[in-house]
Amino acid sequence: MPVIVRLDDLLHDRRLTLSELADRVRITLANLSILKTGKARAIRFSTLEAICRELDCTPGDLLDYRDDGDPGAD
Amino acid sequence: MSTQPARQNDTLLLVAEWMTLLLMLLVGIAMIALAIAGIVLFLDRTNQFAEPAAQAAMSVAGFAALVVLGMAGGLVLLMLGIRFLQTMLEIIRSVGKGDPFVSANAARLRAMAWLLLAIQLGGLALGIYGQWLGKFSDSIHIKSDFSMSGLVGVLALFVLARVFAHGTAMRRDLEGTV
Repeated sequence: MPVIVRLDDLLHDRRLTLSELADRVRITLANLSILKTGKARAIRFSTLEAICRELDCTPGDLLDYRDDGDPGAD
Repeated sequence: MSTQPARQNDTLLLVAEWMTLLLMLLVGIAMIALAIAGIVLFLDRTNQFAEPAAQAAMSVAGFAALVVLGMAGGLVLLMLGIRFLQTMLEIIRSVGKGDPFVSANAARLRAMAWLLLAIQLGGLALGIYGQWLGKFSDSIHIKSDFSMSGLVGVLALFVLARVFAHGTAMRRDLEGTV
């Protein structure tokens, strides 16, 4: 999928672990892990909002887009 | 995304499951009774069908074969009924497991709709056939139900199958949502 999730980089910059973020945003570790590994198919605005609030970032810091030339790829 | 927990103590599901099993048992007994009656009638055809065969200007064996054919039609309808109930039982059990929005259930509902349609149309054909046979003897009663509610049931099942297919697609989308 051409949308890249930069959660790992943001966590590293802020010296936070995934489970600490999971506690703060009240999302299960399993779901955050799905997001971090780029396996998520969709993200709720509420999730995006909570992550941006806790990591003090914008959605643009969390998500990036890179055209991989495959329009049908999932 | 986790599925809902199994509902082993759900009264509605328990009643539905037991009722379906009971109906399957009753239909099974009816099938056995019909098969035995068909065999007995055919073996005793000379006594049973001499008079109506003469009235229909047919041989006794020929007339007996027509009656048995009607009974065989009834057996086929009952078999379709058993398959319908079995499919319904599979859906009830999938609800009990807490995971009903699966493509298998959409396919099951579609199959149930086709089965019910076949039962309705088969019943109509059997009813007409029975009426024709009944003209030759007062003791022949092959009756079959055809109802508007059955047809409405067919439509409802086809629509529900669509609902389930759509619901399954929506759930698949939700599964990857965080």
